[in-house]
Amino acid sequence: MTTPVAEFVDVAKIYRSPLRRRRTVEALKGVSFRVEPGEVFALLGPNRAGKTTLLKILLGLSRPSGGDTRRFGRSISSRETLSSVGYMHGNQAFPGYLTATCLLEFYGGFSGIPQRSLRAKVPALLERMGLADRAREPIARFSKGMVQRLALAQSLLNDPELLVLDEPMEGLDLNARLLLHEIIEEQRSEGKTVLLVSHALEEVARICDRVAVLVEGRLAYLGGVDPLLHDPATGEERSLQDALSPFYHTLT
Amino acid sequence: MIARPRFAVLLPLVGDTFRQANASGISAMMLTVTAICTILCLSVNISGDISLQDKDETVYFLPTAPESKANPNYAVADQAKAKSDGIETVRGKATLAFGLMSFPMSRERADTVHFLETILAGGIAGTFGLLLALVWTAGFLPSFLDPGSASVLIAKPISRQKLLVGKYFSVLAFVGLQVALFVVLTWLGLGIRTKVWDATYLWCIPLLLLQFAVFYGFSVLLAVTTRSTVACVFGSVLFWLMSWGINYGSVMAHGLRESKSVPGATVMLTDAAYWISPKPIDAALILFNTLDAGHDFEKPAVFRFLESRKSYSPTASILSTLILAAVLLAISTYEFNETDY
Repeated sequence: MTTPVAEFVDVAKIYRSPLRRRRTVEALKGVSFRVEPGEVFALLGPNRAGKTTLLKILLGLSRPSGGDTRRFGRSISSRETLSSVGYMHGNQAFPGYLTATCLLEFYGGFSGIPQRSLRAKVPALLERMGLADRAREPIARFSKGMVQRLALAQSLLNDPELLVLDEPMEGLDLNARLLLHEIIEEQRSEGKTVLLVSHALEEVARICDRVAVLVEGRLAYLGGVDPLLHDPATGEERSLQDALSPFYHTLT
Repeated sequence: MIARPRFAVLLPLVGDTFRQANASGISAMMLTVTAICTILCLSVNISGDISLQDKDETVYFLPTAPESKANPNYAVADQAKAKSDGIETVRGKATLAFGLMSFPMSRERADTVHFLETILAGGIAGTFGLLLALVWTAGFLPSFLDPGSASVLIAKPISRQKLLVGKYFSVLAFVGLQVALFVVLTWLGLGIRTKVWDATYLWCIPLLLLQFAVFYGFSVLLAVTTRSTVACVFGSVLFWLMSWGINYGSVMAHGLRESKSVPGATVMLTDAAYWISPKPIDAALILFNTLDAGHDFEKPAVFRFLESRKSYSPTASILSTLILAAVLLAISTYEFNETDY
């Protein structure tokens, strides 16, 4: 039996208001599932379902209020395993005074990558992301799409075993989306894992193996994408959006 | 696991802080202040001075303006009398801003240089410079801790403590460099023009940096809890003012205890507040004594009260300031560890 890349057992998260401690929001209510090595896995669900909170717990950005979370079979308090994780933040705000090259060298340094290999890797990544000609420009002059491509490059710096992407399609043009698909396919073919949060359901249907649907902090569906694309009653093909609409309507 | 050298975390953060300071124009502003003061030092000219025969020789002044108003010939007559009595009178002059400002000078040029260095260290760098540095660097931490950029860093295999402490020391390194540039360049400027090289002036580099370290520690705590530049600016300036108040209150309470006009409980309370807060008056006194400023200025009453306290010790004052900076940093680190991103 292989060790799961990410494992959530009865994970709960309660946010408390800093001023009024009694005022709480239950973001996650006992979520349990595993992400296996080599799969492309999507976390889906309406806004405020707890998807990003779950990612943050996995990455050590947020503390769970209960349950057990493991990264590569080890407790999330062990930070060493983060050296095998690449993370692309959903609402990236890189320091505008850094150039693309400086930024990748700066973040890469914290991943424990030696400077010599960073110097070789950074230009190659920028080339691949179509940013080679802007490598020496401050990020403040970049468009939203360019910042997203830079964020993707940043997440790939350490050749991660687990690539975590939070809303990766946002702000990307068609070419960049195709590039993202290509990168995800590469990860899969190399036996690496991709865990993503997205609202772009068509693309999720095309690239993901399994999905977990969260609704109001609870796991509402866990399984393959293919079963969702066929109506269980009629057997007819349907879109992922149609398949998931009942989950989204539970909120209205 | 990749083994990291000890300074592997600090060096990129120092580089980032210097880039941040350049991009925000803070480096340029600090260097401008240093350049203006250095040019002012290079514009100093001293003439008509005589060296003291020994270091402790007392400098006497002949009667000047008030008497000469009543009797316009008094000063001249006095000069003549002094000469006939075998007293050598000195008519020295120091000019600033390439001769635009001039003032009469005491006997030895080293005194004048010493006087200027005391003003530069205590007045310009110690008060005005410290406040400017606190205000200008207040935005460094809040922007560093912005979730949009900090989340990616926190998701790296590095502890939050190292990140925060590294950033704190990188800001100290930046301010330390600026303080060193200010002190060394003004020292060189004055030295080149006057040939007086008083190395005690250089002691104000660590003393000023220590003061900044403790006040910036509070700014870091505010940054971690609020992530707001405005809160850091106003909070740290308020903390600075409050520390002056506490330090002053404690010293005066001790001074007045002997006259029994202050109750013992008040003295105890102000004493407790004194030990757990920064001590800008102590720091100013240490700087005053280090620079031997008593030679040029009368020691303020608050300094005399402070020195008369049995519990006063410069070493204890510096150590408690260092401990306070460490405690503020430890609380900030704890708070940063507990924060959800």
